[in-house]
Parts: sequence; C-alpha cells; structure tokens
Amino acid sequence: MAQTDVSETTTNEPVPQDVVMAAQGRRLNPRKLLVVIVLYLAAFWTLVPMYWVAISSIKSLRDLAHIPPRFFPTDPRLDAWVTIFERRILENVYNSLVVSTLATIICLIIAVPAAYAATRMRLPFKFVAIVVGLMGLVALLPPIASAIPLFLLGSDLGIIDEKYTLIILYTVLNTAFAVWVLRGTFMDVPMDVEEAALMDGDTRFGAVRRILLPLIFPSLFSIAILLFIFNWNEYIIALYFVNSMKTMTLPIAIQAQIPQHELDWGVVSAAGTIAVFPVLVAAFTLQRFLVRGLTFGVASGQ
Amino acid sequence: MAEVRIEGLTKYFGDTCAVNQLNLVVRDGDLVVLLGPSGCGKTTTMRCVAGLERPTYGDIYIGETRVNDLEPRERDVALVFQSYALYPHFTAFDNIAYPLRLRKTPKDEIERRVRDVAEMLGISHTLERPPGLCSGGEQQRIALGRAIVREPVVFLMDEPLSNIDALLRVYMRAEIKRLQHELGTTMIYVTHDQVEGMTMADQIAVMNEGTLQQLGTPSEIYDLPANNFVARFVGSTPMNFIPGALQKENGRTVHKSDQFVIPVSAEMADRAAELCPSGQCTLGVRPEEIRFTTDDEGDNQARVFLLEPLGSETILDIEKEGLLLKVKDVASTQVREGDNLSLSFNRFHLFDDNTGAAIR
Amino acid sequence: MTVQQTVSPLPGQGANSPASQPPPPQGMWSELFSFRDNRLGVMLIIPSLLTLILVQFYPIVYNFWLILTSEKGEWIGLANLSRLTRDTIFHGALIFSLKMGIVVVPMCLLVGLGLALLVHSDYAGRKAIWISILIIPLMVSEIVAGMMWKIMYHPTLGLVNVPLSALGLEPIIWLVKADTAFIALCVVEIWRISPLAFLLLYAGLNQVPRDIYEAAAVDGATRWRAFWDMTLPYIRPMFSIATILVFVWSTRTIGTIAATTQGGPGRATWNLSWYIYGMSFQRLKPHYASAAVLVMLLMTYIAGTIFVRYLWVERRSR
Repeated sequence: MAQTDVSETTTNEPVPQDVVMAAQGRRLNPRKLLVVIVLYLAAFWTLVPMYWVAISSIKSLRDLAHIPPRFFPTDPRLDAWVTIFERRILENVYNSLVVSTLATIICLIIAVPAAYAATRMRLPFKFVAIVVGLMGLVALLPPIASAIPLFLLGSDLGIIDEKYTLIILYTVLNTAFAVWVLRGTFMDVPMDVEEAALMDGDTRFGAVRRILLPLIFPSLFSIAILLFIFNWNEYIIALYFVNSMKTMTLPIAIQAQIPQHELDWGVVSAAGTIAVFPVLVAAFTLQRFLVRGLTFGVASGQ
Repeated sequence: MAEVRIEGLTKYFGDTCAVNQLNLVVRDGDLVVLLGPSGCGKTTTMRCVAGLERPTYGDIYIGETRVNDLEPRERDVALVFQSYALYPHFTAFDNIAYPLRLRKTPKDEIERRVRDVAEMLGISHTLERPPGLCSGGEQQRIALGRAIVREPVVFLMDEPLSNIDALLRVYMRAEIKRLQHELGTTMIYVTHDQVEGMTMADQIAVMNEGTLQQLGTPSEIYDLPANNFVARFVGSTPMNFIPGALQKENGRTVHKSDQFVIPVSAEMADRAAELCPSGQCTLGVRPEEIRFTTDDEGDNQARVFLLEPLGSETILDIEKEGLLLKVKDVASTQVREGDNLSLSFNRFHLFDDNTGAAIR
Repeated sequence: MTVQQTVSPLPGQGANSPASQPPPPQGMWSELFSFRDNRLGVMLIIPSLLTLILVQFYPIVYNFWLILTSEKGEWIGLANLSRLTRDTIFHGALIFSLKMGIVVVPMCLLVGLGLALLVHSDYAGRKAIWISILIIPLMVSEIVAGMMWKIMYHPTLGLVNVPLSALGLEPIIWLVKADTAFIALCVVEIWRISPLAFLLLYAGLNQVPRDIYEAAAVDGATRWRAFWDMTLPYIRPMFSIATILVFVWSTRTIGTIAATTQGGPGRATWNLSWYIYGMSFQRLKPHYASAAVLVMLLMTYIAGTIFVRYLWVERRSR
C-alpha cells in the first residue's frame, strides 16, 4: 500500500529527481542486499562440491585434464556412467535400498510404541525419565565405540557379511534416536484430543489409529525419511560388516571406487551423484520438520 | 441418568498429593460445580470420574456401579475439555458423529441426531467445516454437541467457557444450564470462576489444595462460608478481613483490632468461647454489609482514598492504619475521595486464626 | 435437588497437613507393575530397551573385558591401557582429534549462528528454500562428502586451486602435506557439520517470542543490544546442545578421512576413530583398540555430562 502511494505522488506531481532516487533507494535496502548476497554465497559454498562432482561425472577425459578446470563441460560424455553401471553399482544401490528401508521400518515399529508409552501411558515419572535419559545419552555415543564388540559377536555367530545383520544393526543403532525424536513429536499433539476420543467411547488402540496417527503422520513420515537417510549414509558399521558384493552398500562401494592416484575420477563422481540424489529430495521434504522437530523441547520451558 | 458417588478419593502424582480423601455425592440430575483456584485438585477429581486418571485410593461409583477399573468408554460419561479437544482432521459433523459411529449407530440415525443437536446449538451452518475454520464460540458448541449427541448418563465439563470472550461466556453459561435442565442429566462442572459457579450450580463444592472445603448451595456458600478460604474465594468483590481478637469490654464481647472495635452478638460470643478459646480470630465482612455515614463522629472512623465507580454501584476503597477495606455503595451517595466515614458492620463472620474455620 | 454432605468436620486451611494424608504409593517398581495399563506400557518400551542393551550396554561391558585381556584372550590387567599411554601413534591421533575439535567446533557454531541469524532475519524471503539448501551437507554421507572434497582439492581437477592460480600463485597440493591436509580436512568438516549448528540454532531462534524484541525496541535497545540481551540468553540452551552435537560429530569422523587422506601423509591425519578402525580392523588388534574406544567414550561422556548439567541448571532457573 505504502509503495503504491509513493508511485502515485510521483506520477501526479512533478517531484525533484533526488526524492525519486531516495524512494527507489529505500526499496533496495542495502541491509537486505547484504543479507541476500551472503546467503547466495553460503548456498554457493554448500552446493558447489555437489555440482562439481555431478559435472565431473560427465566430463570427457580431455575436459578432466584441462587446466584450469572447466566450470561447464564442453564435450559431455556418459562413459563414466556406463562404466559405473558395468561395475554393478545397481546392486549396491539395491543393497542400500533394502537395508535402509527395512531397518527404517523395523526401527519405527519398535520405537513408536515406546515413544507412545513414554508420553501417553502415565507411567511413573521416574521410570520414564530414566528410560528417556538413557535413550538421549545413547543417541550421542559414537557407533565406532560399539563396532568392535559387535563385530566380534558377529564373527562368533558367523553372521558377518549378511544383509540381515546390517538390517538388525541399523535398526538397533537408530532406535534410541528414534524414540527420542518421536517422543518430542508425540508431545506436540495435545493429549486432550486423544482423551476426548477415549471419552467418546474409543479404545486406546482405536484412539491411536483414528486420532493420533493421522495427526502425527507428517512428522512420522519425516522421521522415517531421516532414519532412511541415516541408514543410506551409514559407513562405519558397514566398514566392519561388509566383505563382499553380496552386502556392499553404496558408501562402501563409493569408497572402493575412489582412485588414489590415477585420473579415473569420472566413475566415482557418477557413483557419488547417485548417492547424493535421494539426499537432495530429502532435504526439501525435511526442512520444515527439522526446524520444528529437533528443538528437543528446549525453549518450550517444559 | 445416574448419581455419582466419590468415596475417600485420594490421588498422588509422584509424591504430590493432588486430591486428599474427597467425599462427594452428586444426586441424579444435579449440576454440581467444583470450584477452586488452579491446582486445587478439581480437574483431577473430574478426570478420575472420567476414567482418565486412576485414583490412588478411594472408590468412585456411577449409579450403583463401582467404576474404578472401568475404561473411560465403559463408563458412559461425556467430557467437554477446556481446549475443546476437537479432532482437527475431521469436519464438525464428523466430530459430533464420532461417538455415535463408535457405537455402531445406523447411518441415518447418526445423520438425524447430529443435525438435531446442531440445530439445538445453532451450529448447523458449520457442520461441513473443519473445526479450525470455526470461531471460538462455534468450536465450543461443537464440543458441547459431541458430548450431548450420545446422551450419556453424566456430563463432565472442564472449564468449558474459559477460552471464549466475556460476552459470549455470559450467554453460554445460561445456555449450558438450560440444556442441563432440559436433558435432566447429572453434570459435574469444573471452574475457577466463582461467578460461573454461583450462577450455574445447584450445589457448589469449593476445593483448595486437594481438600474439599465446603459443599452447599450457592447461597449457603456465599452467606455461610465454612472457613476463611471459602469466604475469600467467593464473591466478586472479595470479603474484607480484619485480624484481631475477641475481648470483653463493659460486659459486652467485642472484636478488637488495631483499627476497629466491633461489637459481637452474645450468641456468637458464646459459640466463640466454646470453639475458639484463645479468642484470636479474624473478622470477615462482605463489602455490601458495611454501612457508613459521612459523620465525622462515631466509633469506627476511616478515610476514603479511592472511588471505583462501576455504574450501578460504586466501590469505596477505605484505608485505616494500613488496613484496606472495600465497601459497596449501592445508593450512590455523594462520597468524595478524602472524606472521612463512620463505619458500622452489619453482618459479619468470625474465623478461628488457628484452623481458619468459621465460628458459627 | 440437594446434595448430601458427607464431609464431617470442615477442615481449615491448615488441615491439609501431611498428618491427615494417606501415605503416597510405595516405590516406583511396585507402582510400575501394579496396574494393567502400566504393565502394557512397560511391555511397549521393552523392545527399545533391549536394543539399548544389545548396542550399548553389551558392547561397553564387553569393551572392558577386551581391554583387560590380550589378543590371545589372556588376562593382562591394565597392560593395554598402559601401552596406550606410551603409544605415540595414539598420542598423535588424540591430539589430531582435539586440534580438529578446537578449530571445527567454534567455526561451525560461528558459521551456523551467522547463517541462522541471516535466514531468520526479515530480509531473507523464501526461508524454506534457504533452509533446504543449507542443510543438504548434513544429509550427505561422510564418505561422499570426503570424496567430493577430494575432487575439489585435486591439483588438476579441483576448483579450490582455481582462485590461487588466477592470482598467479602456485597451486597447492592440499592433501599431501601435513599442515595443508589438516586445514583441508577442517574445511571439509566445517562444510559438513556447520549446517547442524545452523539448523539447531535456527530452531532456537524460532522459539524466541517476537514481542520481546518489540519490548526491547520500545525500551530503546539497539539491534545489537537486543541481540546480546534478548537473543543470546534465549538460545543459550540450544547453543549448548549445538556445541555438544557438533563436538560429537567432529570426533566421530572417519569417512571423511577414509575418502581423502587415508590418514596420510604418513600418520599425520589419524584421528581417534581412524586409529580405532586401523588398530582393530586392519592390524587386527581389537583388544588393544578397545582401550582407545574407552578414551573416546570418556570424551563423549564428559562432554555429555557437562552440557546435560548445564542444561538442567538452565531449566531450573527459569
């Protein structure tokens, strides 16, 4: 509204040039300009490695060897992509998909009831505090700390290099984190609404299915994607437990493709591009949830 | 339709005692208001009746059935929440229909009953909307409709009017009372607003710190408060309290404080001698029970320091030696700030300083 | 229409004394199993507790067993630990981890706070898009992040040397010299982890009520003062969470090193995780490596308790 007023005055009456300049200057706020420029720089800094990998995968050998490096490929080739598929990258993608998806689903099946019980069942306060505190602490511990004992256990049981071992391990490694985050999500839904369902004559399970789950579905979906990404990226446990192509997940496959000395970078770039793609999709899906969901109830005063 | 009987109800949260040995019988068809400040245990009591909390000790009966071990859905009571707790992902119609659907009511009957209730509450036009698109008053009535439609044996109301604006609240409390009378269903109504309690209740149960302070009709609660807590809590302009002690003066018993000497009837003096031998007691008097004249003479002199005109009446703020009194001037006397008044105390109560109980 | 009054003597205000109350229920465990609902609740939690036992308690206990025995399974007491104190490779790895923490944690917090303030400011339109872009590195696998930056640092393929050669400087072969490799790894870690600080601090900023800024403005506070007096105290709990998470993430780094330097040149870029991995898996000395695991757990534990306590105090003071 204010801006239209200004333009009307400028058209209706002859106004000195410097006033018009000032009005325009106000619209192009220097502070805003600075903020936006810095944000563009940050976005550039964030995205440039990914862009670089993506174009490196389609550069011709001549472009790859060109000095200084070219920002745009002059002669795009798919040779690297052909090679990476020949090296059976799809099997790694398949392994990663299977392991990540199943581990995510099982993890949620274990964690959702626990988070529900911790927030909704009015268990003794001390008990819940201990359980939730432990979960929070465990979510902090580095996976490499458990890797050796778990590896030795796995060797004894003879279940190294099996997909189901990875699924079990990814499930249990993420459960504490999942319970912790789900608990926050559940606390966001006022208990009243579920209690109203109980009063209206619903069973506990019915209230969960008809009232609670529909209400938390967006968050649940976001947590599932987050867990999937964790599993998709998991590297340390896989390092210990993957021995062959049968179980090799994408991160391990990528590591195996990294050349130490020669100029074979197109292939690993292609593999990296494949690995990053779901992450880009996830980032856009998850941003709203992450901002809201990862506050750990800190500033809410509870 | 049923009586609700609460026997020795005690509820602990951890080590905190929220309700302490509460006994209460709500007669069939009565509207009982649980009144008290926040944290007094009134909501906890109601939630125990609803089945949303388990009593630590004590029994709850609805009709002849002991309901302690019953799930909320097995008790056939309806609860209206303070937040309304509408299902945000359902339309208003589905919200009201939900309890009927759970009871496998035939479709056409659901349709008819929901429409009837909506008509009765004047929310027919909102039925296709989700609650998020309804006004506060409409949401409130949808929540009421959801409770009414299933014709429960007991209504429970948890401060249902505290989130709507003042004008609508005055209208709605009459509306709820009318509905309760028409349906003849027992109702337990929780509120911290003593005006709401006074205007709606057949019986008021005043609670504080988990304990029942007094149970009685609104006029009993107002005119014969059982202790100083009830006296302080009830009344839109609060009761005045004058700390002091009973003494004999010239063969008569008087309540003597730093500021005033107030004669006490012989009957009351006898009771006081029996119930409160120390004589240490606080005198409580309602603002409308203080009479005043603009004489400069008289025993109990005090100065007006502020006028609070309310239109139909004026509240005079009176001060004497650090003690503040509020006096209701109904007759719109021409009193000005700074005037000296001579006070007389028409009807008053004495409260034992040790127990807080009224001497009566 | 009356209610019969069943309360006998009306209590005064002092009546709610402990003496007149029945005793509170005894003990957590008896209460835990005395109600049908509670038993169901405990049953719902048990699977998660089992996972805790499998992945954390079992390994930690087993770790102690490993430390106290040799690779052949003989009891050797504290020999593994004392050997660790004399192990210069371990010293190098520990110092490298700490050095990296000292550089990476403050930088990540600074970058994260700066970006959070920028995105939170009124000047940044389309916040959702900015956030989506800025959090991407958070979700990129360590190994992929390392691989990307290895290409970025590559003397001929990489982009990092382009500005240098444009200025007429000699290109730097980043990953083959100890000091440049350290800087290079720090940059990768800052790229990878500062979005975590950004995300947490942005979430913290979102929780600051708008009206306190308006109140501050009315009270005559400048933007800068409002930031010091209002924003910082408000996001302090979130700041401590961000600090600990960034620290934990930076110490557990292993994929970045695996993809870029492989610990080289020499052993210049071995950190604790890489040391544990190398000792246990490549040199097949899991018992000895467990002693290093203990050190790592202690570091995490100390960082964790400091901040949990800090948070707890913070919340109590509200």
